[in-house]
Amino acid sequence: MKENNLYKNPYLPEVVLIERVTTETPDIKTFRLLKTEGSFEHLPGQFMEVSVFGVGEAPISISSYAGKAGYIELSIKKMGMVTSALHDLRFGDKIGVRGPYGNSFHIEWIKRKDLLFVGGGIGLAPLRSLIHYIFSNREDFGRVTILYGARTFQDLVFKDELFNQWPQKKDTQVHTTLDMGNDDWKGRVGVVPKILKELKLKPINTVAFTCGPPIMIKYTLETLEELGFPDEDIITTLEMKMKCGIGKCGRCNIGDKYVCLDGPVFTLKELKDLPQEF
Amino acid sequence: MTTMNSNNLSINIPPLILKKEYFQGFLEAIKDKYELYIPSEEDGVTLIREYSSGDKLSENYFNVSLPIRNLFFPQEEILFKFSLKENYNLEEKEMLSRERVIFGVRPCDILSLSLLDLVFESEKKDSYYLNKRDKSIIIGLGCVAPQESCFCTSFGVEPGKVIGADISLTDLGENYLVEILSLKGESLVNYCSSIFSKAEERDFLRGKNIQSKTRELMPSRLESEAKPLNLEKYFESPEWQKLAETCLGCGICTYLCPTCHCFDISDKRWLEEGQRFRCWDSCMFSDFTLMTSGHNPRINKKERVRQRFMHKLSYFYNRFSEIACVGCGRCLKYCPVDIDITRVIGVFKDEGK
Repeated sequence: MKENNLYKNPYLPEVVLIERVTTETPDIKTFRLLKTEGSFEHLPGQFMEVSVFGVGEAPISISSYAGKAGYIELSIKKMGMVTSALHDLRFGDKIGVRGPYGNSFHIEWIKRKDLLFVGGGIGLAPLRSLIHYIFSNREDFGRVTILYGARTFQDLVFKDELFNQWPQKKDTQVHTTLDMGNDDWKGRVGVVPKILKELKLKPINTVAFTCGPPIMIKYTLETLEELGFPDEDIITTLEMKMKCGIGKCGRCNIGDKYVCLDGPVFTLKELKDLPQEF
Repeated sequence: MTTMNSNNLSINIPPLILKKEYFQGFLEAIKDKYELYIPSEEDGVTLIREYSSGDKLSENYFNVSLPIRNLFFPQEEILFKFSLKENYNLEEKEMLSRERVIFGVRPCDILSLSLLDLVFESEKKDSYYLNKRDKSIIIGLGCVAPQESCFCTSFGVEPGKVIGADISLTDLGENYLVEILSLKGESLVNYCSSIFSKAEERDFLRGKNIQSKTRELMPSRLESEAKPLNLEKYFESPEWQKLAETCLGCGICTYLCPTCHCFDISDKRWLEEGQRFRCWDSCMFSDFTLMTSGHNPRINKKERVRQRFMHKLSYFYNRFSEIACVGCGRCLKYCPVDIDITRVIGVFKDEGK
């Protein structure tokens, strides 16, 4: 920090270590990051601005909650320049991060309630931070139902958790579906909203969380409404083009809300009050 | 912000007179101690430029072509440098350490800084902008005549009277009336106090008279004070499409607006080193909100035109209780297809009746 500046520079990333890289799918990898000093502190639902120096910066949601272990995980789909450069990095490499930024899932408000997670593709990543939080504070929450889908078997993320770890948790059901099955797949086949309808869940004392591709979110929201979930009990996380992450650069707004400050977590009730421009 | 909020209770200097024959000497004296910027003319264009000895203040300028924000939030600004080796060696850009004086800022542009302060001071504070604000002493110059495109009075600006700067100057013809508005202003005046003389009461009264006269010369672009418009209810109005049909999407309105603050952040790299910089960006460009996935929430010009006006007139007000317009008139003066924000305000005011 330069002596003659009174303000902490909010644009300066911290250089952190890639401690582990897990290949989830052909185009999604999970990066576990550690600070060289101190540990990460964040709330489920927040995001980071991730830097590959010389390439650029991109906002990425935190896909883990590790509490005192002090690391974070980012599950990243290879899409543009920054995410492609990230995919070339390995264990031991260093990257820059700023954050955590954004609001978070409203933990206090969902305590003792039953929870339904509806995810598609890479959209399970931000939900996973809350799922981790719940499983590490299991007694505070009611039943957990996780419905997750992807196009094919190889597109499923977090397979070990989906098939081995989460189904073992107390009062927890995991339903996995594929848009396209194959001969080896014995599970459900069909798009997420269709399966959601078939599960015939009751909305009583239940809060639903959803994230996935825009088209999946659209039909999932409709289905949840049909099932009788009130708008304030349907929660999603949004993506918008973002640069600064701190409410200055002016591009992630939807009406008078900034996704980087007021989001990325919104209830359906809040979304309905916004201009339909996202 | 110290400039905007420093109370003037402890300022003891009465109004002063600066004789125009001493004006150049005043600039030279400032230059000895401070970095100095003044409105000067080159090739017929008046901009606030760094002063070097002998430069002349642009005569009879109404306002400078580029808004004052350029000096606080430059069109392109390096944020930090890095090497591409092991630990990247992030090197923050050197902040301003020397104080600087910006002379001749008009009342509308001074108001624009207080609006930018709201953005750059909120939440995580923008160190680059605030450092430049802290290190700047602003000498405002009241307008004696408005331009045809001016409508600052609709936003509470008294065009002849400087508010929110560190020092106010009023053109009395042969002299300037000098009023000190902040402690920073006081320190500058104390530094070159011998150049001023005490203002007589008649000078002061003449100054006050001139300060209130400019308002009477204003063209009547908007009938009255602009009120925050609840534009949300006009989100689906066909007026946006009509505006979009003429708009070229050139972005000049956003580049010349003193309150626009949108920017892009990007990296440049050479072989083993690079830098991260930010530069002005514009909501009028289609890639402004284009995501890597290909999804673009503001894909058509209609949505982008609507965003610009709604951000200024509605969204900004909802967040900060101020309208993000100061009535400087640059956007309507320089728009190649004559899109006029005062007409837009008028249309929705009428629809609201």
